[in-house]
Amino acid sequence: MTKRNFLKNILFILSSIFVLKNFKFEKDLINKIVLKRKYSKVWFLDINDLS
Amino acid sequence: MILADLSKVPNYNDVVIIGSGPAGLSIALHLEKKGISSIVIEAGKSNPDQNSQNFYKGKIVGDDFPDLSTCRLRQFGGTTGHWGGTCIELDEYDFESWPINKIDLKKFKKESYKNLNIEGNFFKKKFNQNIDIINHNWSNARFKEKYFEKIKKSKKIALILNCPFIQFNGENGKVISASVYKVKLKNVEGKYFILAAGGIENSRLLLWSRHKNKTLINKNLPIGNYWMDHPYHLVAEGVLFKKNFVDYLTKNNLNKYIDMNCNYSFPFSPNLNFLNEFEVLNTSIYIGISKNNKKTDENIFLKQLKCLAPSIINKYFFDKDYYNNYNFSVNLLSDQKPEYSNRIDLGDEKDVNGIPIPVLYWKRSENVRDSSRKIVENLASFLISKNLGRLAAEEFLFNDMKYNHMNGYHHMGGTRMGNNNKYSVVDKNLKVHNTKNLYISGSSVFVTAGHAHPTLTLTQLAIRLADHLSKLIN
Repeated sequence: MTKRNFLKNILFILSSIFVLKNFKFEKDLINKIVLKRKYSKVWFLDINDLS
Repeated sequence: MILADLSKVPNYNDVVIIGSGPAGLSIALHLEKKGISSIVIEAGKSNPDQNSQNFYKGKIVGDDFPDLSTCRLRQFGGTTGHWGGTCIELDEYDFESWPINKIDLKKFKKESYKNLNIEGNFFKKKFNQNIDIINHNWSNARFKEKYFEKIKKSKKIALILNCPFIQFNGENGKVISASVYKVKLKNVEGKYFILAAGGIENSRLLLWSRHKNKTLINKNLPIGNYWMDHPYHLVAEGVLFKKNFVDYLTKNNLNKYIDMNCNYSFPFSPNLNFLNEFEVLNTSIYIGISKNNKKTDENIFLKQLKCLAPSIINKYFFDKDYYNNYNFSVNLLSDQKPEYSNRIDLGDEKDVNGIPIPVLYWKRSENVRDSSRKIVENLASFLISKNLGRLAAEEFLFNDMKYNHMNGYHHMGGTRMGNNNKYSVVDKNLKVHNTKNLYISGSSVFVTAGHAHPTLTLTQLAIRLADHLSKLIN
């Protein structure tokens, strides 16, 4: 792995963690999940919306 | 007739009415129909002015609340001079803890509609399992414009303006006179006295009269307590899937109630089953639908949704629909459970007439947040189950963070109605407990708030009181 690719991977992992932190799994309500987005609003989405 | 000064005020009157808002005037007009004379004493002038409004200043302790001098008008016609005109009836189940039922007001509906220039065509139409589409009637009635000339010509109604009420005088529960002030003080005597000065002033002036005259009004009555307003706040926004939503409306014959072509806030309310099963507060659910059709003004919620769940765009939006779509907002106007600690009290500071300014102790019930969350969750779940759209809720619904709300400017309670003088101030005929001839009219007698704007109900209650008095007098 080149130094450049290594840094790219690290950056990708860090950004993934950042994104996951922002969309916290809250609870399962029948046929949907609730995603919480920091500093903004709580979006109610169907689990199939994410596929 | 309009009386220019106190010398013209008869020393003795059948009915003395304090206040010329929708309650006071509706009483005077009904009594006139029955051939009974009354005198209406109004603290303000025919038009509002800043000096007069300053008398409405007060202090607020607790949660944020609009300045008490701006949310009501001290003038002939009262707050109808600047109200929004929204009319809606309380639900039957709002009356559960009242000493009267909704049906007791039926007889007075027609007259109240006439006073408020409305048709009274209210409906409830099932929208889904839990909520109904409801409607408002819009009143354009400004009581000053509507009734000033009529009262000027009336031989049965005497009106004196710019004449603040100071206190009731009497003993052992019987009011002998009302002290009023215009250049000089005068005690206006009468057979029956009605305090109809508004949702804050009724409590304040009654508290002051009790303070000044210990034997007139029972010292244990909870005057000023159980005060209420309607907390109003934005709870969610989102995107509607145009085709599916229109199909749903058409399939359920709802398209005549919801016109997708106008940007409008449609009112809904929880049905009784939802109220009981989920223990939510009775609430006006305003779903505002906005049409977007500008490419330059991309729907912000659709943009967020595209980021969160890109597959939604392919599933529910055709190319031409992406920029031709609908977003919506959800605002709730909630019931506020009557709580003893929410109250009007007398402050230390006094106005120029020597009456203490009011202090409003106000804290929004915590169950407003819980109830709002349940309503939003239910709505979100419904939108998902039918694939009608997606909803983004305000974060404060899901934690205990501080949040601001507006109020409905609906001042209710403080002199509530009831059978027990431990928990109420007036009886079912609006007579102050343990008094012989003192009555209260206005939204201050409300026992619960429901989600209905109060003017229509307070007008019906006022006419009912006038009808009751006319029977006593005749």
